[in-house]
Amino acid sequence: MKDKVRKMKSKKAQLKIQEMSFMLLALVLFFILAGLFFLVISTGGLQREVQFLEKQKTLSALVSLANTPELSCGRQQCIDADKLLVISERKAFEDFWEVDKLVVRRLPFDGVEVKCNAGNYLSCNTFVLKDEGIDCAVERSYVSLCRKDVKSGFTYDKCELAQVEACVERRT
Amino acid sequence: MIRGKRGLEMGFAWIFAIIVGAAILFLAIFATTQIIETGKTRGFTEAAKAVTILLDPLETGIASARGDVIRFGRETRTHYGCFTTSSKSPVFGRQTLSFSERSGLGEEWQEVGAEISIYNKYIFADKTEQGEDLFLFSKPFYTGYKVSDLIMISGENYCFVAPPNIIESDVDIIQNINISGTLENCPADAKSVCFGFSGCDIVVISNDEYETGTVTKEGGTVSFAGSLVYGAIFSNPDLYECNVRRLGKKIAELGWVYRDKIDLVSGQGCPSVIGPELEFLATQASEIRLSSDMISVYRIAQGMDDRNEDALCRIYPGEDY
Repeated sequence: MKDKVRKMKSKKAQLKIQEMSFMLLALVLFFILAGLFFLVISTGGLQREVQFLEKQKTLSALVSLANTPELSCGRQQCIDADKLLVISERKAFEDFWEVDKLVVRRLPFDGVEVKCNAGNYLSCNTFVLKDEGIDCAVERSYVSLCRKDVKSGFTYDKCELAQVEACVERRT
Repeated sequence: MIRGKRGLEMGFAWIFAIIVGAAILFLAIFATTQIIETGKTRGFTEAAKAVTILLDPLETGIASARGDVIRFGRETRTHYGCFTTSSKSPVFGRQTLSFSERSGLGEEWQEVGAEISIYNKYIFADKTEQGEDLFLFSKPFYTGYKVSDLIMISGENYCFVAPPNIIESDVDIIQNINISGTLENCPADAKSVCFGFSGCDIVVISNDEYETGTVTKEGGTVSFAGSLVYGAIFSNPDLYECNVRRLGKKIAELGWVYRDKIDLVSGQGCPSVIGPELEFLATQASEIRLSSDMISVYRIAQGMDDRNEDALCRIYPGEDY
């Protein structure tokens, strides 16, 4: 009889331990799930914030680009086309721009891209300063593009309208 | 739990529950602390990135100087670093910017956020700037042609004692700089800057109307040329020397660009005689090791600039364009 009672008590205790173990397991799982949920939410926010900051960076770089000493012709929002060509071919400036793509297009642009080099300088339409060939959201700005030209023996600055395109990698 | 005559007997279930419960509590507290820390680091990193974005509009363009203020609303620290070379930009080097904030409780200053690298700017500041506001001041630096905009950042107040007119008119746009005729009239909390005499925290000496000279600060002396005088005043000497070397590389690279431009435009009726001087300037500038080397480069540039100004076809727009 005593043995039977002891056995029953032991079974009851085992059952209690099992109950508690399951309860604790459930509690741990709950915390893990809640943590994962929080991480997903906060990571989503982080991605949005990164994209927002990168867009801001691209826009502010775009606006100030024509005023940088590397490209400026000396007037407000004006790019020196002669310098632009030289810089686009110099390796030192490859990683100087804090964007993933930076091109300057002479306008009107007919959609057929003719990249500029020393040989086709006067007839080309696209100066490529940097192009990583990646998927990115392009931002645009308009500038005047001036180069030295000669007419009737006099040297003058010939200016045209141009569009600057810049972007940073789209991170998903 | 069973209470006996001699003490307390705990069943396995209780012991198990206490141990596992404690473990869960510890893990929960640890995870929460880590999440809060990560959140703060993230916030500080975002703030540092935002500050770098705010530096873009300081590009002076054709203006002679620009000033601005960043208001944080609470006591913050910005930390600056400088490297003459970097894997991403081996020629131009890089600067770093990181951010931290005063804690409401616990340790006084919180852990610094991640460093943001800047490759195409020259920031002159102390290694750590502290305050609720950051005062920004940008001034173009020329060696014949414009090399870059120098960005001076300070969180403290300054008192310029008897500055020359040219410097007084430049710093007129900056809110944290007082101009005083004598050292005694300077506010007690301001860093004093003496022009032409000693006795202040920072001493500026020049023999040529502040075209070139030296700045003595924190026990060290650095040399300046042109608008670098502001960099020397506001910057930590190590950061200043590093940035002068970075500027030397920039002068050299732009020199080669203008040299190649001569080849390009001479065929279009725009010949130039400054080619050899540009080459010499670029070579000298690329070898700058100390700020005193910048003075000779600046002198070479002045001679070249006179010839560019006199030419029918100017290769670059000078300071007085």
